[in-house]
Amino acid sequence: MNYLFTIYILLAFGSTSLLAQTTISGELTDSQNQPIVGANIFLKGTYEGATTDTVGFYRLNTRLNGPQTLVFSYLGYETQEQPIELNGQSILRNATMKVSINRIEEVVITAGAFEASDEKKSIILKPMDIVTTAGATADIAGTINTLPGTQVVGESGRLFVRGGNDFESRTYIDGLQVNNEYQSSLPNVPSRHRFSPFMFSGTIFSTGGYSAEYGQALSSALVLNTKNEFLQNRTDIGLMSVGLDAAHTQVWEASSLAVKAEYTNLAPYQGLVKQDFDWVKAPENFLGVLAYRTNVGKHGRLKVYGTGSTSDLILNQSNINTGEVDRIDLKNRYWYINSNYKGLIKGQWTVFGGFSFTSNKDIILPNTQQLTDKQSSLHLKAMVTNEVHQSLSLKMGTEYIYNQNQFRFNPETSEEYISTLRGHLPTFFAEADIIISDKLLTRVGVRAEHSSLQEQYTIAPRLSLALGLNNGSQVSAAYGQFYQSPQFEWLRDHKNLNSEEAQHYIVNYQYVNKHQTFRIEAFHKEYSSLVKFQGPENQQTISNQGEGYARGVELFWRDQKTIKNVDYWISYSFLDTERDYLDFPQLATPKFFSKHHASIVYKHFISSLRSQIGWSYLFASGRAYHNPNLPGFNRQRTPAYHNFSVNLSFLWKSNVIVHASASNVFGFDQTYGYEYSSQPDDQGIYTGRPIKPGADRFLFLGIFITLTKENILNQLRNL
Amino acid sequence: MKIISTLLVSLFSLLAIATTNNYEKAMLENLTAMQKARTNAEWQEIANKFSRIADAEHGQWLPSYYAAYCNIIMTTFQEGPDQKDQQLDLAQGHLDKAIDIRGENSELLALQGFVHMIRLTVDPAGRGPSYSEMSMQAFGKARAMNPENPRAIYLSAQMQMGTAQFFGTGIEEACKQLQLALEKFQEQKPQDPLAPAWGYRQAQQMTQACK
Repeated sequence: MNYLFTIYILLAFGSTSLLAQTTISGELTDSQNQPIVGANIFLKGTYEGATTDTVGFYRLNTRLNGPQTLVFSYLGYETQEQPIELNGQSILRNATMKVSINRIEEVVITAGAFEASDEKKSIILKPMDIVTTAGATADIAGTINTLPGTQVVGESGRLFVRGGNDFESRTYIDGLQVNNEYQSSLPNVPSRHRFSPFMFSGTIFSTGGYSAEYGQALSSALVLNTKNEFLQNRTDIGLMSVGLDAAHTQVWEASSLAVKAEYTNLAPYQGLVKQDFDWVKAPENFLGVLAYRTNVGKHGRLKVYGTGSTSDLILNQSNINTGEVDRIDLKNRYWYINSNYKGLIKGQWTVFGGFSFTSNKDIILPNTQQLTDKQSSLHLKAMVTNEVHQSLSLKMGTEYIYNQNQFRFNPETSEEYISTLRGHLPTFFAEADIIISDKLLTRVGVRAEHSSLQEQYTIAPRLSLALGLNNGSQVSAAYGQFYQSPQFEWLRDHKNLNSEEAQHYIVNYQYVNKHQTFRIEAFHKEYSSLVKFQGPENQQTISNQGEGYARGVELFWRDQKTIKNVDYWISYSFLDTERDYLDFPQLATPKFFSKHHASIVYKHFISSLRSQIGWSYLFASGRAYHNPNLPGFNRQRTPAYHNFSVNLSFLWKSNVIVHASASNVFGFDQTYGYEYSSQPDDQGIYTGRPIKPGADRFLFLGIFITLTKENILNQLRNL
Repeated sequence: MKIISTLLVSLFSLLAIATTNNYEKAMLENLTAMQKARTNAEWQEIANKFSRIADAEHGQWLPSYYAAYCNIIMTTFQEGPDQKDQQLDLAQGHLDKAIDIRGENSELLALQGFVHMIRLTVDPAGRGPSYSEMSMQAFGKARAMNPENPRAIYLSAQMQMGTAQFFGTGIEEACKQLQLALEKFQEQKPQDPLAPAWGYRQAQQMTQACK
């Protein structure tokens, strides 16, 4: 009993009976010996603590006793714990705190990459910028053409990156590939990217040296990430000079569904604005989009994104060889579905699994013939990422890509030609991000593929690193090897062709402060194993003996500070590229490329007018073309290209926006290139003619209305 | 045996009372200090204390709630966008912790909307479209869960005011909401002395813009 009583007394009055007070004090500094102000120093599991003052000094008085744990914690630094024995004696404890890894976010691998996102700091472009660039008409490829490393190829409308053909750039949605990402079009009639930027919350445009996660692209990866969340029920209606659209988003507790329907028809517009092309039926397009998202458990998310479209156009094109007019009818049926799951397991492993499927069918009816090109592609992907350690994260994945292409040709005179190709491509990739010090980050990766068509194994290493310098500047470098299967066009009759190859070397310097960005990047790209044959008539000589190179320097400057309410960026690219591929007799610059390419994009927000006014100017020096009447190959150059475009977004009401834009307002004469007849005429002269746009200017007017409960949202982000 | 158990029970209840009292006392002290806080250093001190209480009291959501609130306020003392974002990351961390403990409630959602709103102010042109939607959604949910919550009404009024000023449209609707918020502030009678009660002073200041 006595014993128990003693315990009771001891417990009940223990804290007061040993009244001795301990004072802990000290100084907190960072690795540069600078005081840390406002840090939290406390005894773990208790309220007892103190805050450092302006010189990093703290004093903590406590009546606690015995062994305790002293914790030092401050935003942006690694938390430290130290055992401490409290016994009434004053204790001096200084500490030096280490910058936590999270704070080293400023050092990122920038070689070859332009990233646009809402979330990340210190990035180059935001999704909004993509959709409010004059002259781009809200086309992803159009906006990206204002960044260095790209080339305006007006007759195509597609992305050509650093001396690479359009098919060397690949689009991904949530990491899963998209095929036939451009609307189908006829030769010399530009097409648009099928995917509207407003469905995406982030864009990464890589001009080279990209991650081992991406393959089957020799030049460039365009990675679009769908929105993670739709937040409010809303209905959007758009009335445009080229058509109309309607979208609705329904949001539930843990899921959301967005649907959109769009109809465009260029006939009324072309009736008003004179066209140089002889349209029989102006492009007409029906489009549907669906985006579904749901939470799975606490840490998982399932997304489904689907789109389908059908389009039709008929054009009379005069044939340079026969001198007759060809009536060409192009019908396209397209659908794409992408579904993926991303989740967190045990707080450490992020798992990703998904598939995408593209189906594209082009029916081309030149005069009375029929040509059908049907392509289906399946992409399966599973990937895990793990933050093994604060300074090491691993990514591993496996992919399976299946491609099927069926090509049918019904000429009037001879028998039907059918060719079907099926290719399987299993892939494995692994990549590690290693933070060597708080200023040095490296990424090492490898991608292994096996192509069933070519019966070829390829192993592609990738390496990049970033070194932080002082005050927002950093240098970054990347190397990578890239493989891509030859185009179906060649594989159809020559299945034994090997993959084409490219090697990238990139060095980049970047300086970013609050509202300004400066980048300079130099690159060298080596092409090998390109498809090549001896002259167009001689396809039996086809081989992988083609080669080439591209090298250049690119500058980028963006300034949101110097002029109030003004945001502008300037890009310049110098490109030196030559190839000996396809039917080229020697190394020569392909017809798509010009040496100098520059652009300025200017946006001015005038809040009193509730308007944003913008303009852009694009310049490209002459492109190469081949005149068979003159000696040499691809020696000639077109006149330089100029395009000055303007746009205006006016917030009429808080939920109504009026958008107007005009491209090439000054009507600069634009010549993309020249084409020549394949045979000389009686005088031994090849007849030639320039390739030009269908009209000098393109005008656009649209009214966009958003209906929500509060009606304060608008479609500003969609334009 | 009976004596021992009686002793033990009384001992534990004593300890329990002591710790609860301790918790309430520490919280009340800190809340009083919070009302007087003006400088960054003062706010930091208070934030640190809330964060210590939160660490020690695993079942309580209010210390984390207030730690989040302090960090949101401290953003106003930060200069650069990166620093502001970092401070907001910390606020979000505390807020997530509170939501983990308590589950979503009107006060926590209002604070979530507040975090989004301040994120927006870091880069209005770039973040406006997405963050205005996110914050309005959080405020909407907060108001749906408790239509009497004056902070949710006041913060959404502020958001509406900011949007109106940014686009140069009328602020009448925002002012109407603000009036409603002021009424609700006067009606609020928290039974719990630790429950969120801030905002009246800020809401009154905001009425300047409506004059």
